[in-house]
Amino acid sequence: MGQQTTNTGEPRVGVYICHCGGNISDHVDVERLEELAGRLPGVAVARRNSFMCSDPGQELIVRDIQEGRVDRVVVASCAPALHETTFRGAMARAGINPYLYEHANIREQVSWVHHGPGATDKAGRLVAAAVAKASLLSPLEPIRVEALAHATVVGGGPAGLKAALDLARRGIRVTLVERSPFLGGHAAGLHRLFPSGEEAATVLGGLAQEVLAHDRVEVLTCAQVTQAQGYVGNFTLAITRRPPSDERELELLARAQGQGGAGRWLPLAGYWPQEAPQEEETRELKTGAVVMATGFTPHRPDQGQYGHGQLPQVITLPELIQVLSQPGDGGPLVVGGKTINSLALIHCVGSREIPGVHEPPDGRPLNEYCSRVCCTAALRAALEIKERFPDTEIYDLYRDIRTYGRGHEDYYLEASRRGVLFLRFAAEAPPRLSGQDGRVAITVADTLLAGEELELEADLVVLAVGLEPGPASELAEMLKLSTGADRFLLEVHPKLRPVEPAVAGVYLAGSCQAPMDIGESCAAASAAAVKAGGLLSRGYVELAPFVAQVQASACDGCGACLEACLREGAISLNAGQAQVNPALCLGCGVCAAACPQGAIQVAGWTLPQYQAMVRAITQAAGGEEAA
Amino acid sequence: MAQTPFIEVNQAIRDSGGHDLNACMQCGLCSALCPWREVEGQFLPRLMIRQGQLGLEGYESDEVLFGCTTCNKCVLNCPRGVDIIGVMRAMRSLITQAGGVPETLKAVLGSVHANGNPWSEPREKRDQWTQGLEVPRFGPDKEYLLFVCCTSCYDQRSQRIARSLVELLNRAQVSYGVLGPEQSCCGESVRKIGDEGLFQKLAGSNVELFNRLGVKKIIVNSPHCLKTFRDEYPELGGEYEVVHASQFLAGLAEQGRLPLRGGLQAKVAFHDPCYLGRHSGVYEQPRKALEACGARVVEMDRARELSLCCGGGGGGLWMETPAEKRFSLLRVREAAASGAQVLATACPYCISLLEDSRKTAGLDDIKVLDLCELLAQDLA
Repeated sequence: MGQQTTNTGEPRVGVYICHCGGNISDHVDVERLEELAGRLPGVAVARRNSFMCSDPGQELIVRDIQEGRVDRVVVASCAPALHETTFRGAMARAGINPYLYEHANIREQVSWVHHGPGATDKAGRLVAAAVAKASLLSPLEPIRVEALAHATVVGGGPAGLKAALDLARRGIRVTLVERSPFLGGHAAGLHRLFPSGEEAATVLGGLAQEVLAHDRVEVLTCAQVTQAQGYVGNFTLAITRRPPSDERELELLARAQGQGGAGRWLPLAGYWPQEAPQEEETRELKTGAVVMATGFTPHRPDQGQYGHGQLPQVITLPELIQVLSQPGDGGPLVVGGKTINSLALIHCVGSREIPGVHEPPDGRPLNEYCSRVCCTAALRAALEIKERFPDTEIYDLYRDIRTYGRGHEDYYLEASRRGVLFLRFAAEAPPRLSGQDGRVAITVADTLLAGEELELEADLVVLAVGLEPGPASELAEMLKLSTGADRFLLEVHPKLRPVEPAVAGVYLAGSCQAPMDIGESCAAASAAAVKAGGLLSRGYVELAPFVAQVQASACDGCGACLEACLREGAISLNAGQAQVNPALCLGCGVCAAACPQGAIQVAGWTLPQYQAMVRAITQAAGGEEAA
Repeated sequence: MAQTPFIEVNQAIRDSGGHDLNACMQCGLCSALCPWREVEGQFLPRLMIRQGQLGLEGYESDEVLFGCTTCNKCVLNCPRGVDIIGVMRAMRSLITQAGGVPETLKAVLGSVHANGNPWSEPREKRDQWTQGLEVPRFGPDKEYLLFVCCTSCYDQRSQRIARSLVELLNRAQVSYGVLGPEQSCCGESVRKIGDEGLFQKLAGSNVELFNRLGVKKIIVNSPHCLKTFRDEYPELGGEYEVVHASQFLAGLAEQGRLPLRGGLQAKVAFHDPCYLGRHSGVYEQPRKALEACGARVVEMDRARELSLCCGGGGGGLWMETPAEKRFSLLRVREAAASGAQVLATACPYCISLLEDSRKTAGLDDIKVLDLCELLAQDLA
């Protein structure tokens, strides 16, 4: 790209006004706007086009630049989010610096919200402001930072394993950090997986072995990220490995060690790849990207919720699944030593909670979302019971059945056909349980009978508990990741940037972001791996140049900017002067406002540029001062 | 007072032919589509199935338990493909066994039991409709058995359908014959009313008779016989090629075997009988046959798969439904609104109820006629 600076001579601004096929020109007098723009100081050319974003529209800009009429550009059209990069691209193609560009939004901010003469007046002011700023712009270059071809995947469940494997296959070195001694996550505690019915051991054990066998992957179990610093392409993490302390993990390990060493699948635990550390150890890890695959936590029923913790016959769905993972002896279903002739499943436990209807006893936040996997998981378990123990009566107490995924509805249909009785309750009237001679008496108002109350008895009650946000809140805080109202990690855009949080170089994989089934988690993990791989395989990262710059001669090292700065590490004091790390700077401009000397400015958004814009806006369209 | 589900009843319904009882997910589409919604009827299929699923009471009244006219609209549209009619039939059969049948239907069942027809007419008079006509007896030399619906055997209005049909078959020189008093009702309505034992008896005797006489192909004038012979007799050892008169006559007309004048020259609306349309998928042939006799076929708002039931199926023909709550009344008004001069159909039950409601509505400018009658009138 042959760039020419434009420091010689007066700026020659080209103004291009878009009709947007009537979207703009139906309400803004674009001919008058063109005429006004043409009279503004510094404007060399003012033109109109039906669609500036079209090829002929862009060609107007390219030709004016190449033929020397114009050396900086203002386009008045839609929101810059839509086409700013389009027009910068046109400038680059024509051979000038693409940052000598300013955008005037006269669609969303004018024609879509103002009609009549006022619309044209406002459009004129916005164009005048853009021209005023454009005249003061200087060429900028994107900030290029080196990126380490190494990614860290946090979490060794299905999503973490899948992301690690995909990254390694793309040639990126990977460190996978797993908190527990085992790989496979919560999914390892399952028996058969919907919708294929394969065993968890086959699917996840196979995946874990592939990851472990890959020479570009380093797996660290009993490990956590305890510190995180740096920026896209250049993170520095502290990884701490600790001897396991969780009682269940210790028990599983003790049992496993009696039967041979590490390097195999342990039922209900996961793949056990390596011996746990004897002592705590922390090491530093430099990495280019972080893939969050930190998963979820199963909802723990509140004390007394549906009799949980009070009635011994009330268990959770994961507990039932563990029972089902044991081979039967051909007799009836036995749970906790008791024969189960009838059981009741209750859906939406800790999911789809409604403010004003549900009030958790300990003031925990409400889980207003649908956990998405419990319906199918509950029905899969019900169906397995009907198949293996056909004489068991099953009552399914639900609010809505949401078997949305491919093949999931078959479980619902088949469970119905096999005689599972479905009873639908309203959120406001959940089933009431009480113990009765070793069984549970359930009273439920069936909305399918216009709210008539039914009384059931069951030997076992199974709570289909939902998914809650995972255990990685400290790491999320260290990385400055934001969460949604549901407390799961939040992406920038649910459709257009679904696996990227607002922090560059960090990606979201799986149920740390929202309740997902294993298939969806793996899809998200692959997406995260592709995004991280795309970032790291070039060896460098280009960042927008709109960051703070210090004018060394004016800075007296007072540190006001450092105090005001929102991003840790973005500004430091070096030899009595402020210094900006452009990779960390957010470009927010707080420092510029705080500096008593006016020594710090955001490139592309300097104070003189702002002042020029404000002056232009306050002038009437014809050049007179506004009242 | 809370109720307790009674799972044994659920099981009994499934064992009595309501195999799909539990497959219903209670979406309620059946209740919404049910023709009873048009007349504020009490019958709600979803609710009745729900009560059946849980083994609860509440559906035993005549208006509910015997409300279903088995029109098949809900079945064709059920997202779970539930055999709703099978469930209704099974639930009725449990009540029927316990004697809970409406009085009028008791008389029907009694007559079928004693006389082989639902009209309390002597068996011997079954072929009185043939008086004055040349109607051959079925024998080994005959290709088709013509099986005339009980209603068209005994009911005066309906006899005209059978007489028209033989006239057409004779003119087309079809090799056919009829049976005498030894044949019994096909048993369609009996089974839907819930008397499975009687159905088995009727069907068994007919199958024995047909097989003994070497019947291979059957022409029927009632779509109810069509459905029963075609879909239900095979399980009892009776496999026949069954064709409805409308299909057969359309074929004859197409082959030029019927000397038609094409002189009808009237606007004719065709009412699709449930058992010919939704139960059998026959929609085009009756319309072709009407065109062959010169009719200008017009469509009512609800035609083909959306056709509005006349109310006669599932025992409805014999139920004492108030005149203003009859689907047939809505139907004749709909026909009049379509501008038709003739409301044609192809089912003895439909003819009976539509003609009745035509009189109730005082619609003197429209005629209710069977397809067979229209074709016979048009013979050269």
